[in-house]
Amino acid sequence: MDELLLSKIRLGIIAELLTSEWVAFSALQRAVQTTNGNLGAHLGKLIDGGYVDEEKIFVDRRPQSRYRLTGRGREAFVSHVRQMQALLDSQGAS
Amino acid sequence: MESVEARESLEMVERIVAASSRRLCLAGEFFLVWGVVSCGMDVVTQLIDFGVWPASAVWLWAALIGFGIAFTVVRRRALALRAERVSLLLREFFSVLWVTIGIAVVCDVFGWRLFPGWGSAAIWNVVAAIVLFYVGTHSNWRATLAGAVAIGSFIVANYVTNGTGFVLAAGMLFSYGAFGLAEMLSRE
Repeated sequence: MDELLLSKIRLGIIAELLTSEWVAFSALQRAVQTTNGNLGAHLGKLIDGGYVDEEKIFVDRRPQSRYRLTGRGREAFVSHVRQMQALLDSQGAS
Repeated sequence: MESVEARESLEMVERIVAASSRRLCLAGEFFLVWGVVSCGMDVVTQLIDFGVWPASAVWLWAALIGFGIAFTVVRRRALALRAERVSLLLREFFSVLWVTIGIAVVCDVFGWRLFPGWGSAAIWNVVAAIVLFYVGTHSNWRATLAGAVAIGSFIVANYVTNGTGFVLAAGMLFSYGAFGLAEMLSRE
């Protein structure tokens, strides 16, 4: 299993980004329902792992961070979900 | 990882993806403006055809199209900056929109012998119906209803010999334009 995606918050972030071209920090925070600091820390790990790209822009002179899923992140997510499904299938079979 | 955790994680992913895939947030103001612009162009053409306005009034088309394009460029830029998320579904919608409009432009410009007279204006009611029905397939009943109005106006216009342009104009106003207004009101 992918160590980075074992955290439910990080998995939730990736799932949110999966169907979007990009998502702003505030929208991600509402989606995964966590604190600013916690979300920032988890996003930092995903960015360091190359799973998520960060873009900083200014909206009405205020800084805003947007995030998008990278190809590597998408592949890792698909692989991780397949492994979880396989685990469940094997538990069901035994 | 335990199987209970795996099941919970998969359920969470399914919930998030299912909720995200339904998000097709549309800016109603673009539909409203282009509905009014298209309606205006049909009315101008009809008034010229009736001889109420001189042929030179066709330049009003340029003013209407210019306004529509300027509004779209300025507002889209502003909305893109303020949006908190752009879904892949929305990107797909814009692909459908541009492909449909592109084909209609080709029909209008290069198919002038195949679509003479009101045919070239009627193409835009067909385009409106395609775009609205596409939005309707994503659980938007207002778009489906508006699409039915657009294609209905196309059919009615076929049988109206005196005032075809007014029927097509009403079709654009009460389909594209009305849908845009309804979307704007529903978000307030």
